[in-house]
Amino acid sequence: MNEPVRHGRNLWISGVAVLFGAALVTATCVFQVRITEVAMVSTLGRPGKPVSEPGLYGKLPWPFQRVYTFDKRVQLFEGQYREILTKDGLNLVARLYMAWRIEDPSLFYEWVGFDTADSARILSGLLDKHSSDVLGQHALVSLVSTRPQQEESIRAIEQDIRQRIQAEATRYGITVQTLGFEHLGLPESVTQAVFSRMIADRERLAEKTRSEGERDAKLIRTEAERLRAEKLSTAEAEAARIRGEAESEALKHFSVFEQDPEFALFLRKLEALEQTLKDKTTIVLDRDIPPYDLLSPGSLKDAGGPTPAPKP
Amino acid sequence: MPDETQQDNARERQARDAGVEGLRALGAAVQVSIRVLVAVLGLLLIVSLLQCYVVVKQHQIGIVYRFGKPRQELKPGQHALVLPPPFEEFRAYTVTREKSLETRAFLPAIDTATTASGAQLDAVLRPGVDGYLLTGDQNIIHCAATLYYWVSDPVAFYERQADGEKMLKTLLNHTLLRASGALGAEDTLFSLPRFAERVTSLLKEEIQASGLGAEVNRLVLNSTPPRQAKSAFDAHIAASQRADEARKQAEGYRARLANETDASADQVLALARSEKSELERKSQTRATTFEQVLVEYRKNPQIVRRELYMQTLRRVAENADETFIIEGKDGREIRMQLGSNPSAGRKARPEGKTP
Repeated sequence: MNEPVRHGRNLWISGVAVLFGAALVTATCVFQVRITEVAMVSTLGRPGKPVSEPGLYGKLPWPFQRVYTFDKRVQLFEGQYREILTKDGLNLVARLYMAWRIEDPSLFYEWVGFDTADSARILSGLLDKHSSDVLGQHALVSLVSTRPQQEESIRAIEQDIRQRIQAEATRYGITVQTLGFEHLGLPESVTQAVFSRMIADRERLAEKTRSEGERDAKLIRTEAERLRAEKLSTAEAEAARIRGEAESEALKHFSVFEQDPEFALFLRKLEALEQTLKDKTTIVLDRDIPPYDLLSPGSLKDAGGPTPAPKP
Repeated sequence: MPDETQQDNARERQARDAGVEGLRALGAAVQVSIRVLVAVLGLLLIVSLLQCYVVVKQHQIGIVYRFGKPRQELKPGQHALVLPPPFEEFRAYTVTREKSLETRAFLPAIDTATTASGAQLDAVLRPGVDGYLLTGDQNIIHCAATLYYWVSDPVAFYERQADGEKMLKTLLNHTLLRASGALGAEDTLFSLPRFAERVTSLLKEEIQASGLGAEVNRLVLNSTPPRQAKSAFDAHIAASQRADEARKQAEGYRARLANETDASADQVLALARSEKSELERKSQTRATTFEQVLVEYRKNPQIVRRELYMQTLRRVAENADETFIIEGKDGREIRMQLGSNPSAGRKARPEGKTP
């Protein structure tokens, strides 16, 4: 192999080696903070300010500066089921949750370190202590009630617990974002009594519902009948008014009868007679009434007809 | 001595030759190592360049992170990153597709084998084992819920939360607890739309407050009374149904009666109007007739009176079913079939009487 070729190759290889070395040195002098992370740069073991904004940052190479990164995402912590005594002396079984995140990695590193079990232990302790304290100041109706202010009441209780925990959690570099009840129940022994009450309540409600239904149905029927009577009465009154109007109109025509009241009365009688004996009538008449008087034996003689035979 | 000197020189030459050979071998090894390193770096470069090509699927949204910071949002399609990893990173998130989440935290832990065998069920509920909700009137109910949602802010849902889905489920449980705690048992069991509406409203508030980056589409709830009190609830439901049925029947009666009443009232009024017309017509006719007859009557009152009387009697006798003409002195009776209703006369004829 000739000398220039060997020299060129060595130069190229040296260049790559220098680049590689430079990349390695650069890698030790920069660090990246992702959106999910918060970083802390310690200088000669002394913790520095947290870096929470994502991006590329510079630092002195190890051992002068060292970078510690923590998960800054919101973590969920679920407490244990705990029996709590309320202000009105009732036992409740409650379980609360917390949404928390690391706010200050320096404090978190100092007090908690990297062990997640330690953070769970700290949070559990804070939650137990403050939830018992706060719930002990409230009656059961502050948590479950059909009163309109119930929702505000439970929200205020949750806020109170959260604020108390936050006051202590700040020194661990933790922010409690939200806190709430995940379970709210009764001790095992109490549930049986609740069921007995529920059964008794339902039986009472069933009876009440039944009687209400019957009462409503009766009311509806009565009201319907009242309306019917009212409507018919109105109609009858209207009919009477119409009839009165008709009679009043009819009277106007009767002035002609004043020309001969006696004859008018005679005509009215005839009309009444015909009207009243119109249908389904059996009439019994005396033979002396015309024209049936013609059936009398003497009537033919008077008229010049044949004389009937004498009676035996 | 010369022999010894020669031997020493020979050994020295051998050693020098061996050193040269060693250096040559070392140089060759370094060259090989550097070549391997260059090859590895080249391979890494190729892999990095290949990773610059990214695909965002139809139901996804892509986010490009440069040095950990969100830089660009990519829509569905093929894209190329400006810088290779690790300088730029790409992540795709499912956003447009509806997701569902179910919670069974408030259901009892029923041993299916025990239930199937018909064995006695537990009379109590065990905390931490059997789930349930306390209602505002301090009753116990069970509830299962299915939440349908979609991720509206993938960075918030996937990157700012350690487990967005678990957080959402916890918030759902929390809102179920809050909503049931403000309603009565009957409302949570039998007014499910109202209950679901309240839970949805609270859940939206909670999601908004926690910046979860999710949107609620709908919520399906299924509430049941505890099995320990189920028969009492069933009896109450049956009573409610009976009461409703009684009300419905009464309503039907009211509607029917109202129709009948309207018809009767109309009939009464129609009759009155008809009578009015008839009376008016008759009085008019009567007056006219009177005036007409009066002229003749004044000429010969007796004849007119008799004639009118006879005509009336004829019409009366014709219309009558039967007419009896009797003679008071000997009690004989003449029965006459007059008018136009012979069947009535036949039916009414008594035995032993002279026709």
